[in-house]
Amino acid sequence: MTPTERNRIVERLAVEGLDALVRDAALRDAVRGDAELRALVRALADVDGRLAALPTPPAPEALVTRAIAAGREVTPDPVALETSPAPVASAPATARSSRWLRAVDTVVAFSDRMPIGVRVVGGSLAVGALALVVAVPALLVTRGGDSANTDDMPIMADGRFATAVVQEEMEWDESETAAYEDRGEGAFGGDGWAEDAPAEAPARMALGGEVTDEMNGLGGLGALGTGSGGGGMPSGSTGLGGRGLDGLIAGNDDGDAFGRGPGAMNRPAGAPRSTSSTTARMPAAAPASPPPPPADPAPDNGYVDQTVREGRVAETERSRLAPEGGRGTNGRGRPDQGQRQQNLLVDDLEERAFEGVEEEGEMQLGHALNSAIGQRGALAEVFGEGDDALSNDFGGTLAPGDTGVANGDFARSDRSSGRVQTRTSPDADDDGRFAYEVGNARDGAYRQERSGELAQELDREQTVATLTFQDGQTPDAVVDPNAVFDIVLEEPEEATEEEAAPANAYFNQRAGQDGERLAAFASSPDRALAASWLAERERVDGVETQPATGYWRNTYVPGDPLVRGLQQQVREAGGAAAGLLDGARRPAQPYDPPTNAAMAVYVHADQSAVDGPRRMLVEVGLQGTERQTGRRPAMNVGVVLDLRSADASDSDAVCALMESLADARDIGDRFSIVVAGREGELLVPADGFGWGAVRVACDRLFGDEADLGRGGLDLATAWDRAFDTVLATDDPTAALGSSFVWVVSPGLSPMDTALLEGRAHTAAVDGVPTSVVGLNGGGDTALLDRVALAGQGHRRLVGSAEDAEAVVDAEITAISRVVARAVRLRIRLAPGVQLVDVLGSERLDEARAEQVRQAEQAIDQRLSRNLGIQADRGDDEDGIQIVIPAFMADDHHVILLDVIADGPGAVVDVTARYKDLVHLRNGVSRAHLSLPRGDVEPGPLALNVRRNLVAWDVARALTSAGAQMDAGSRDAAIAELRRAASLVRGLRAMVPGFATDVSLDADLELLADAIATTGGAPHGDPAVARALRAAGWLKLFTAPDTGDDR
Amino acid sequence: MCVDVDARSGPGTTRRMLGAMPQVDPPSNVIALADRREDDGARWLVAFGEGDRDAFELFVRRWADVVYATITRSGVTGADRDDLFQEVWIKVARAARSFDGARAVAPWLLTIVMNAVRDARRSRAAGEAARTDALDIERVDPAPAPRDHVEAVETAEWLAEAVADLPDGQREAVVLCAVQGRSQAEAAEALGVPVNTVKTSLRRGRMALAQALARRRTVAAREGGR
Repeated sequence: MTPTERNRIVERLAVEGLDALVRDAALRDAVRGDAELRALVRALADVDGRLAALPTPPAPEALVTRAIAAGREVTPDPVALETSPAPVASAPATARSSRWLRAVDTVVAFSDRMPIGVRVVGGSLAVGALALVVAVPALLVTRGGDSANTDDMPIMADGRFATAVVQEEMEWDESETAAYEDRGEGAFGGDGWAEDAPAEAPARMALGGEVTDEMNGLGGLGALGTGSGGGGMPSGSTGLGGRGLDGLIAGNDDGDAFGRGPGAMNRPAGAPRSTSSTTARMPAAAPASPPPPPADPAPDNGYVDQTVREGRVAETERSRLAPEGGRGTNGRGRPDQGQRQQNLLVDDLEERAFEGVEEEGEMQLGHALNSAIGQRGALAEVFGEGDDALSNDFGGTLAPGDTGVANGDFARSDRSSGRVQTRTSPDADDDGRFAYEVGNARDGAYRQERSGELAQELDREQTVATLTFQDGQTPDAVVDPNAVFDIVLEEPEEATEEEAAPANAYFNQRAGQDGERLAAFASSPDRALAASWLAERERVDGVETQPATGYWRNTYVPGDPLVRGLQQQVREAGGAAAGLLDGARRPAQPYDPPTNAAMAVYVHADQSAVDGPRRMLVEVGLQGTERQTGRRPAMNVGVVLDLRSADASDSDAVCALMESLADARDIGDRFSIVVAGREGELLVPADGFGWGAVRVACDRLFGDEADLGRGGLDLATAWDRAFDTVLATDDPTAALGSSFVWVVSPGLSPMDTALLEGRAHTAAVDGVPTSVVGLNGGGDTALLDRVALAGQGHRRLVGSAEDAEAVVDAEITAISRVVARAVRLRIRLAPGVQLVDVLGSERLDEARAEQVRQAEQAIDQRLSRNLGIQADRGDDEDGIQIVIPAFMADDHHVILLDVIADGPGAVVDVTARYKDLVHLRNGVSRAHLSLPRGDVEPGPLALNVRRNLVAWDVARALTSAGAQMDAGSRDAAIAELRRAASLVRGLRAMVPGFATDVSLDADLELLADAIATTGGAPHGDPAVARALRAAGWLKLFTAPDTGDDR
Repeated sequence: MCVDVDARSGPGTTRRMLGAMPQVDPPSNVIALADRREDDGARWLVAFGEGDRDAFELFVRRWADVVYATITRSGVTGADRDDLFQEVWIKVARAARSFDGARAVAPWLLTIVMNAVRDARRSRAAGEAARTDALDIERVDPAPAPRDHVEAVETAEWLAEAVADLPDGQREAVVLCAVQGRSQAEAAEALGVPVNTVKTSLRRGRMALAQALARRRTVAAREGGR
């Protein structure tokens, strides 16, 4: 687990507590495997338990009595009849929008609350006093004490003013609620769908299959509360039981192990898995919070009826979802209210009965279903003509009207075991339909076995009634199911020899049985695209090569993208797009962290042997040690707040960053803040930096009196000012990196980047790096990267105020995570090996090469002075030279080279020289690659190289699609994503070893989500564009080469 | 422990867990649960606003313990707490008509309480009181107890002080969410801040307390080993 991932988990645990462990199996796994996290969980659980158990002395009776007596004497202020939050169900049509009408309302309501005598007097007075019309505003004044804007200024409960009316958007018509509930009754009642299921509940929760798991899971938590141990607390007292907690952490996914423990709240023996359990397991929508506004029950909502027949999904007519339940809609005709699923429904079952399935057809149907549900978490509900045939196989008589989901066990089963989990039991399935669910099945062997099982089980007249994705990523956005289905369901065709040939030639072997089998799932276009792609990778003739010498651009930009923050920011902006960031993960690499050196270098190729001239991919991998270098020194930081284009929405994040800096300040730290785009310039000087100064600065920048966007410094001048401030107090003997400039910006323009690049480089040579923080996604991250690269710093993103503390901590402590400095990578190709390209990089011109030399030598000299590591830089070397200013602990980086070798023998020799900050010495790591002659199947390492190449292509497609969305071309973005998905499908079908590759499954899933999200977004949706770009970046942790202007 | 706003709508699993723990005193989190599940007395408050004086007593008795606990856990104790308790109910009485009967009482009431606490803590007297008389725990059970129980009581006492010493935002979030078991959304409403701010404050507060508690244990273990 990387420090980034650990930090993310720590944050989540700190915010959500043990609830997060209960909800998320992956999180449990992560905690189980990490001693520090387990310790943290214990500590948090300990605190939570003790906090919740703090004795609450009851209010003394005498005090209560006195309070009652005093309160009874108080006459409630006749204020704020409109000042409390608006009624939830107030109808907009009757709302009083006019100040005058509201004033009348106020008077009427006011009088209603007066004693009758007062009302009489008031009424009498009112008769002759139309002048009240004039006086009414005066009455209104009493509400707010300010005649200016009191209409929009509600008073808080204690008489204070609030500044905004926040309830309007919650208003909706109660009649709609009633209709909604009525429909819900019909739609869900017979099917066991808890009507009070939470809008955000995962699909499986609503389906009921996981209910008992969670109840057992509760048992584990129950054990937490009553176990003994846990720090010496007496049994039954307030401590969190060690055994219970250990059960929570150490238990496997099986709910029994997870849930059993002393005092566990297990379901009593023999108790039915009842609806009440479901309710307990799934907290209902709070009565206090209104349900979401209902969607039109019968809109043309984009859902398309689908049926699986003869191995393919055929689109039928668009239909309107029936409002009532029943077989036609499977009781699930409810438009998506945020359950995060798509229901593809069949409402005319008789027409779709799948008759006369022959053996081949069985397999095809099974395969098609498997293809559909194996690539994304899905539930496919299949049912036959009669229940009799089914009950024989699975036991029990199936009654009508059930959910169709098998018992709860399979939801928590270990899918990697390949055990088929399609049981339907009488107490779980009453409607005579079988449910086949494959969650997020990523194991290829399992999918294949599942496919065969499905085919056998479908050996009767059956129809796929419902296909429900459980992707959890597409809440209430309008999704284009066609786009999704283009990805996951294709008509199977046989591959032609011609199409398969390039793959076979490229990988020196024929497709194995698995490959052939899976090839049937890919369409001809997929295979054609993959074949073309593979042929291009094979092509030797006419390929342009270039000298494998000189300095090349470094592609390693350390930093933490803070996925969660991005997710939140994207979710707030656009909803479904946030899901993209979940699936965008950097492929794991097979590099062992060195234990006796700061870093190590690895070299692999996508071939295990060659017979003659051959084009191949060479992967150069860098891996940092897991050790860190100790506590951070005193820091000297000049912060540049770029507020030229910032608005109020950035205020939280900016202020949180500044406050976090104040929190993080330690003895000897010197922080200062310079602002660009606002008056004030040196906003907080280093001598006056502190909590109070930061708060005052925030108020100045974003308070009511703030003069937003007026005057102030330009960004370059602000950077100069910050740099001067830092340099004035820089200690040349301090650790390199302890002084730096930190640019905080919502986004840089190309002009900004050009201006800052040169400055950042100069400062870096002087020993002052420049790091960049992007607010709210940071705009074009490639521009931020350029500044961070030139400044030898880091690039980080802040999605919300919540991320600020983590970002500040990461940046301030980054210096202690740097394990190697001035990493000089020399890649020498053997004679006869030609360089086609270094993916994502470029050969630097002489001017930029000189900058790299200067920066390298500056680090070299400074570390020599400060740490006594002998200076050894200054000479150029032969081969490709890449200089990485700093490398982080427990991090890795991949560089892919496209080369042509003339035959067997030596291919490449790689040397990494670096300043080892762990052992305070000059370090060297070497690796070389030589391929034997022969026809050897590619091994796992070779497959990994290919996988990295595919990941590169996927990342490039996502980034490119983001750019297309930015340009307002949604169709082009979708086309780009579809091309990538088609390529992955084709490669998976044609390349042996890819058939069961889980990372390709994840790529397909990611692309399917991207297509669905993009298809459901308006043209040029900035949130989706940002999410696509971020997903592309996250896929590699570096900017894929998209042919930008550099 | 606060439940996430998305997972709100009822007590979270941790809440149930904690609610299941045997308690000597009425646990505040159970109170929080109760005031969500049961009648929160809104009708009495509305009635009082409309002139029914007796309704005020019913309302006060319904919420007195919650208010008292909130004030105590916020670090206001002793005479200041009693004064503040009175002051809160007078404010409640005055503001009764501003309450919308269609809404939940808890956030509305806690807004008043937390504002009053903030004001009180700003004064030197309240601050001193918070440090010098943080807990009444010893008065709750002064009887001789086994070593473990003594340790538990001492830890609780220490923890209450630690909570009271947290920065304002963190303390308020911890009291409302972790001590009283309210949702982050409720806490945000009561405090008049965005939910994300509550999350941040809660995270900082819980981490600070967890670290401090771990340090305390380490020190205790070291001293115990001598």
